[in-house]
Amino acid sequence: MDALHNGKTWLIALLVITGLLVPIFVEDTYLRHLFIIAFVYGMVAASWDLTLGYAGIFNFAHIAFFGVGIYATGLTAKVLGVDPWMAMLIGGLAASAAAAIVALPIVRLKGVYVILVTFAFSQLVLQVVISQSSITGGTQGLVRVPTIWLPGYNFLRDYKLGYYYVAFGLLVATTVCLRCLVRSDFGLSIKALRDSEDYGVSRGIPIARQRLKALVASAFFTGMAGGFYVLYLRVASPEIFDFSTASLVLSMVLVGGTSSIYGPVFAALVLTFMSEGLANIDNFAEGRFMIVAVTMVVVLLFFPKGLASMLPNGFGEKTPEILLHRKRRIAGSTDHAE
Amino acid sequence: MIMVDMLSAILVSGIVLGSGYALMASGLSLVWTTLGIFNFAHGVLMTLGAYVAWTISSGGGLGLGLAAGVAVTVAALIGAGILIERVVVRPFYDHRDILLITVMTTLAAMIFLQNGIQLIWGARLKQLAPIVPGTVQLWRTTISAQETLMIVLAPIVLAALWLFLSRSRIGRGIKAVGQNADAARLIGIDVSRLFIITFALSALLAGLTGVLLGSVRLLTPEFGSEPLVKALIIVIFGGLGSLGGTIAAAYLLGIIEATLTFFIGIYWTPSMIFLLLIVVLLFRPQGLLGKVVR
Amino acid sequence: MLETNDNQPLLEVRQVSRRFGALVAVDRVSFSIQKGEIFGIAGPNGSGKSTLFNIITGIPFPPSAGEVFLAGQPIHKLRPHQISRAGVLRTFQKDAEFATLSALENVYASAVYCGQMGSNEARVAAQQALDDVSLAAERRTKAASDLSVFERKQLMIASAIAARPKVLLLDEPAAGLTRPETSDLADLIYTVHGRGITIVLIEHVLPLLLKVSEHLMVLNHGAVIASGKPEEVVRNPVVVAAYLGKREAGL
Repeated sequence: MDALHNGKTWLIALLVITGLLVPIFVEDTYLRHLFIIAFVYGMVAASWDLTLGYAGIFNFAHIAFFGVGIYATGLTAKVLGVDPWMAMLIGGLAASAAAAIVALPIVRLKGVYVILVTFAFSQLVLQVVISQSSITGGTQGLVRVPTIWLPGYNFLRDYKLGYYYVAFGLLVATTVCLRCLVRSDFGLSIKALRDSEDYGVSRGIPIARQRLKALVASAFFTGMAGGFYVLYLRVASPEIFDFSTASLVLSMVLVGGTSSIYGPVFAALVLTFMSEGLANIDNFAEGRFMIVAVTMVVVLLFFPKGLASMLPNGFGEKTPEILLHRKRRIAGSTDHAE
Repeated sequence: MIMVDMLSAILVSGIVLGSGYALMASGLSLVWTTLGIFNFAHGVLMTLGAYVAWTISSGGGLGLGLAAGVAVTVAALIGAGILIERVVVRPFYDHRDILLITVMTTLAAMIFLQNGIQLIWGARLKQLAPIVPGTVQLWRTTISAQETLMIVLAPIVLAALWLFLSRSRIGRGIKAVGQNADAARLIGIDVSRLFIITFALSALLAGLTGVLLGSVRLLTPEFGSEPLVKALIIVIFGGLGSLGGTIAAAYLLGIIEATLTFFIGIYWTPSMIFLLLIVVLLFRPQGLLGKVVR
Repeated sequence: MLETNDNQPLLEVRQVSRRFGALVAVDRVSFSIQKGEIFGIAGPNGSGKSTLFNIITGIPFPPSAGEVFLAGQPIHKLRPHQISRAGVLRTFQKDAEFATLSALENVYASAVYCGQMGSNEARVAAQQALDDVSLAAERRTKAASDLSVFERKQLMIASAIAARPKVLLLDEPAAGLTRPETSDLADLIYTVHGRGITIVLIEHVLPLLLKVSEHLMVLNHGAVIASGKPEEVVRNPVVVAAYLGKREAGL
């Protein structure tokens, strides 16, 4: 067990070092751009899994929280002239605040209502962004957002080297924080509530508070990611709220495996490169989302634990996965894996 | 006098909205009560219906006229409904988390179809010719004849649906399956056939909504997204599991939306509706019109 | 130390009711339990036994009317998790444990959140509780869903006693057990009782109840129809009729 654990630690260390060395070998700006976007998606996907996979909250507002981070950061940096680094933090906090508002009605509700409310909330945020076009730029998008800075360094020249390291640093920090969270007593309590709500409450776990915390924490990381994203791209568009974005990130969570932090991070890397590669084929912009959709269904059908679970050392959880639990419901299967 | 004009404008546009919502949400609610899943591809089925009808009947397409358009649309939607059930719903029937999983798979189906529609028909805006042209004066408000058709047709279709569910053998079977699939199977009901019929019926309702709205609004591949979200809000308001509650909530939401739009404008209306939704859920988690289930 | 006087019941239920629309599942039930008692509740299926546990613990719903006191303090207005923390813990009839967590984590979570212990203390308490229910050491790292039916009963009881409850409500713990396992369960109940925990036990099969209970109450149609010494209660014609009217009793 310990040897396995050490092996895993070494592998992680190796991956981090590789991540640090990548820009030395990859000088192409576009490839670096893809890495940066993949890192952002990695943060969004991994933090989504905190609510969706670990806490079992059917949260479909995660991309809306990402969008809240984008617009909160973009607007405070551009309109209010807040320091971009500070604005990024504000993005995270704003996303957390939005999550707290959503949590208010859903923490005590059953699954289906949670799905409906979170979807409705996502649309609400989109509507607000579009309707308040004098501030947000509406469907035209938010443009000319200031970017991050460091004394004596210009992020805009240097072939995205600076952005690469900031994105990588944020990804590593996010991953470490999320890992700590899911391994803490708090992480144990949200998994417990996911497995059995009533039993969790009967063992003193305050359900509303834990779910609120999970939503707020997961939104903070995605909000920060959104903040970085807008400061990096320097534009924001309401397209981010599309169902397409949600399904792309969802496919990362599914491919990486729910109830895993590393899984979605790696899936984000792979899928971003794949999906961007496909997007470069002429007249195939729609096709790439169609492939993403097919991937989602195929993974759910054949690899319900995620493709990452097939990696050595079991990067997913070792305990049985919630999505694997089958019971006789309608079709009367013979599976007894409860 | 102005008060009455105002009231008339709000009521008429509220009922127009409500008619569309009722048709849309009843299909969603039908699948929910029968199979216990939410079909997020319901909105894109509506889009598909409108596009197919446009291709067959419009001058920009094949120009074969209304009757051919309706016939092909009906066939296409029954096909699409069955296909969705078979490919992304059926494989997960015995899953513990069927609700969550089918949300994801039907979402995938929606993404697939929406992008497919864009691939086939392109992003350019289209509009169906109205089934009935002209305008109609209703009380003190003038609306298009097409909108009047919706007001008239919606109750007829919904009444037919209700009759079908409560009187026909298949309809009663669907209701029985919705209450208890295992028990229904035990008394010899072919459950899986009824699931398919339910899906086809629901797709048909979505397609009908699409054809009716397709001449009032402009067609884009995202045409069905907004009505889908409204339908979701309606089923929350109406309380899950009752067709009557869903229909009542649809008209209620139509009138609320028209009222809010009149007084605070279209920009803030969606936010207000959402706020209302939260308040309703805080005090009545089972929905405004729903009953407490044990 | 503030000693409660000996005459004050540990758990007192006054006139609690629960309605679902027109259906009255529990109808003005009152009883009180002294500290250290093993209190049995019997009744045919659907007589309101489990609903009574539900409304005492607030999981998943509180009473429609009536009051519940723990050592003189009202608890019926507390949040469900606060009722648990106050010392009223229950088990469930159906499998309810945290399926993907290990047995040890199941018990540890209870010690942390219900017992409100620090990490180290909770770890010790969890192992101690698992020792108490004698769950084999090598089974403790297994996921709860991999445990046998009896092991899961042990686990559910261990996770309750790790939180040091005042009262433990056992909801049909013998359901699904074989005869020898039921006898092991009785020993387990005595062990828990020996730790100073007051026990309320629901069963619809009578042998276990008659064996361990010191006091027996019988419900039918949501109302109390008899209460007293077990051997007297089972001879009560009203009780016999309730059981035989419903089904062949396990007498």
